[in-house]
Amino acid sequence: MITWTDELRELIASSSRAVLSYSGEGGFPVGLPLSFSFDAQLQRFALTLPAGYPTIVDAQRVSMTLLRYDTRLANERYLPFYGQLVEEGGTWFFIPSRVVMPRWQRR
Amino acid sequence: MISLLPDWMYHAIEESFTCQFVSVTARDVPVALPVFVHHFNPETGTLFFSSPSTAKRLGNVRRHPQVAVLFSQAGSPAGEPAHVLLVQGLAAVDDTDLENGWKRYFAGWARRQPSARANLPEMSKMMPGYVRRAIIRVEPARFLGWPDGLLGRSPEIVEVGR
Repeated sequence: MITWTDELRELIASSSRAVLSYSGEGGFPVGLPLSFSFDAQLQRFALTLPAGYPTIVDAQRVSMTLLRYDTRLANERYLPFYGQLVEEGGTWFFIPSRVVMPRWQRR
Repeated sequence: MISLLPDWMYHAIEESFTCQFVSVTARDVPVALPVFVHHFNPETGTLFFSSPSTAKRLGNVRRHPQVAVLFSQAGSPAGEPAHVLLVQGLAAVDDTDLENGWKRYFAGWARRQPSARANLPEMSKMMPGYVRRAIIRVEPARFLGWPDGLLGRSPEIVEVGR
């Protein structure tokens, strides 16, 4: 269960990209860089998967890591969500159920 | 030795700023976190990384050696290539020399993140285990990607035959 605080929403808004991770064939995981849009009402992310993306073996155990480059750190900030993928009307949605706030973001 | 890869794949690996290391957690969920490649062997395709000895990533790899490494633009000012490359492979942890083993490959990390060399003393004070690091080696099984980041086209795929 995620508590949708203003801090969390700001972190989502400040992220420039996402990496979707899921189980692929042969036991190998897959990671894909995606742009995303967040629906604050429905609390889910709409995604556009690339052409020819590897088969999704398990849509129930998926994560999405939001990323942004931090010029002060000269490194990437990250925010991992865990959840599931669903497809509706030809669009993929990531529905998060858990978020891990990294230590440097905790107050 | 692996077959010669398309030039854009070498470009993506050598010139990307960070990459995303995708490992599978104890709950069987793949998760991607940013890391710096330390070294890439173009003859074998082996990728080298390091992680603090207490990092969960190491336990993930020991439990589930199939991993993936994603190269794509991070948005750094370094002029990264637009290519998107996913390398799937088998990873192994080498923790035989936590103090010094990883230093053999540190120059590759520092080339991508110049501040890393200066920050090591501070990081080791903030996180005492930070400089006790295990090496992770990834032997590739498949290279899959989209040159120039053209995600609307079918990906190019190179299978590694051994």
